[in-house]
Amino acid sequence: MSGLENHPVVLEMRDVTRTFRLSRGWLRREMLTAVDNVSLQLRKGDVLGIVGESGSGKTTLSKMMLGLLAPSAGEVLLDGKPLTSFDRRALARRIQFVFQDPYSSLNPRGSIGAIIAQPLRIHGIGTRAEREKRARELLDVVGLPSRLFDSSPGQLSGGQRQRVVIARALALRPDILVCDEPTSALDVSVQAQILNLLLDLRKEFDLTYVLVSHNLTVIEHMTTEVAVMYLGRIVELADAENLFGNSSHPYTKILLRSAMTIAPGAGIPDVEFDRGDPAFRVPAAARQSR
Amino acid sequence: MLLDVQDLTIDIPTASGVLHAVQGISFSVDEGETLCIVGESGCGKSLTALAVMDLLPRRAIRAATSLAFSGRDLRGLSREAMNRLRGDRIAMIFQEPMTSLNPVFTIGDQMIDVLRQHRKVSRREARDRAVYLLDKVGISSPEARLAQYPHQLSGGLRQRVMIAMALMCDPKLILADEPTTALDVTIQAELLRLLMALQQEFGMGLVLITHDLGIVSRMADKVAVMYAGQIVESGTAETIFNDPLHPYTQGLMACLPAPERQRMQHLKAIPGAVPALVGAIEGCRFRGRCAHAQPVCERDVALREPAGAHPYRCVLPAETSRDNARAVLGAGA
Repeated sequence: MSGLENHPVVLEMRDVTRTFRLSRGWLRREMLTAVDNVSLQLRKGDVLGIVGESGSGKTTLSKMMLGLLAPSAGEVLLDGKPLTSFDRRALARRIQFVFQDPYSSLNPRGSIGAIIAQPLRIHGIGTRAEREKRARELLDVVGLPSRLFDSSPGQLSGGQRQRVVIARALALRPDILVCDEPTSALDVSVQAQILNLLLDLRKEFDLTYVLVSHNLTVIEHMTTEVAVMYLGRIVELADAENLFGNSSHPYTKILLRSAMTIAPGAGIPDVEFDRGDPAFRVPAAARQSR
Repeated sequence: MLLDVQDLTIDIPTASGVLHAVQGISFSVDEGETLCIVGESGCGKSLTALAVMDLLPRRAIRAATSLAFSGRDLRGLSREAMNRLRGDRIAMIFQEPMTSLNPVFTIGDQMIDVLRQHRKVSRREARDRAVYLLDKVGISSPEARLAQYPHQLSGGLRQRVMIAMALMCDPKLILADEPTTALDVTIQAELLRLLMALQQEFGMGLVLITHDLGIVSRMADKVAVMYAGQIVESGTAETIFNDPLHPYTQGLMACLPAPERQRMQHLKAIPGAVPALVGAIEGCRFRGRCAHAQPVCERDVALREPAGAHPYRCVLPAETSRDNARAVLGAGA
């Protein structure tokens, strides 16, 4: 139990499915079900980890949480109201995102200060001077020196750029942050800096996170709840301690075994499994409502 | 000794000065042995592999006091002689298979070509070997795969094809640069197991270049830890992981999230970022990020091997380093 059972549900997905139409050849059309009948709840203060391999649907799922992609079926609720009932601006003030690649997600021509203040400008918040003041505060919040205010992204290291991305995401004071592989483009020594920052920000601003990653040790370290995705389905959903302590699902077990922790001489684990075996797609016994 | 590299230096002239990408590194690999070169982006590990293969960018300047493969000096080899060696006795596997696979030719054509470039064999014989090796790397219905193009395969399958292709001429040495970094974790594990098994079966030397300490700990016989163009620590996998002496190695081990660490608590991050290697550089390259830096670190530090320790590049006595390791990694170190 993560101790958050009594916190209010802020974001909920109810039987959400998303299909894409693939064109293969001239006349053949196939449907791909990227997310298949997924339900989950995000409570205030949760860090929900979404773990899975490429093609498991984790990025599609996170895009639907952000309202960037509409479900083909089912609904996404924010504070119990359909996401579609919020206009884009209202939504942006509640949910923000941090994507994987800090190298391509920043406008190379902007100054760092202007990049961080951009959401405020777009939303017409404050005067120019107030926006600049807030951008400087945010630089400090994410641990960047104020001399970088007038720098361009090209002058920053990967870790510093990801801090800028996080600062920009916080500009509108959202309460939910969706982070999709926030450290996988970074060196491991820098990864720890960014993870520490995310932990600090959560406490400081009372944030609720969705953390999407293929990196199990990162998920284990950072989350209160974990959803394991496989071929579009959540095959296991449990609080982090339980999932990493005693998972019952065969796919989760394989994922856990494939994590390359430091173990001199241990060799590479045997994780071969039959990807066609339908047993891996069957969700673990439905969780007791907590 | 299969591969012997002594005092390898790579300089790259740039508009803002000379980039000292690799600054005098030495290592060796024997048959059947796995050497892991581990480090972060910009440490020079990938350029090191390219330097061995003579595939550096044209403007890069390579120097070494020894660069020998099976006793043969690679430094004076003509381009033709190096071409004969490359892909034949020494094979390379890159992170992104599409950099080595040609999108307009079938898998079969490319595999057959590799062998026929280096050996006088018939197409039929080359084809048989391709089928044999595709089967060996765990690809189902290998005959049918020969007719496929690279884009028709998933990333994991492509990397298997790369491994099979690297084995076509029965090489003595494989240089693998982040061969599984772009792949899913389960596929990564399958491929690395495969690579280990093939290496043992064929008795090849393997140089594995990676940033992933976990993989290194599980695969390496020998380890060289690189930082900012230098080897900062080297030894057997057991000594490096059970007795890390350089503050950078210790920092790398300590900053990883791991099951035994307290969840949702701060990780022991290494502050700062890698220094620029352009222009004159002096002193310990790590001192700007090191908790134990002292004035003496502003002078260059040699890789030294005091009694009872393996080579490391730090002024701290081994005993002091061990105390630090216990402090940062806990009693287990």
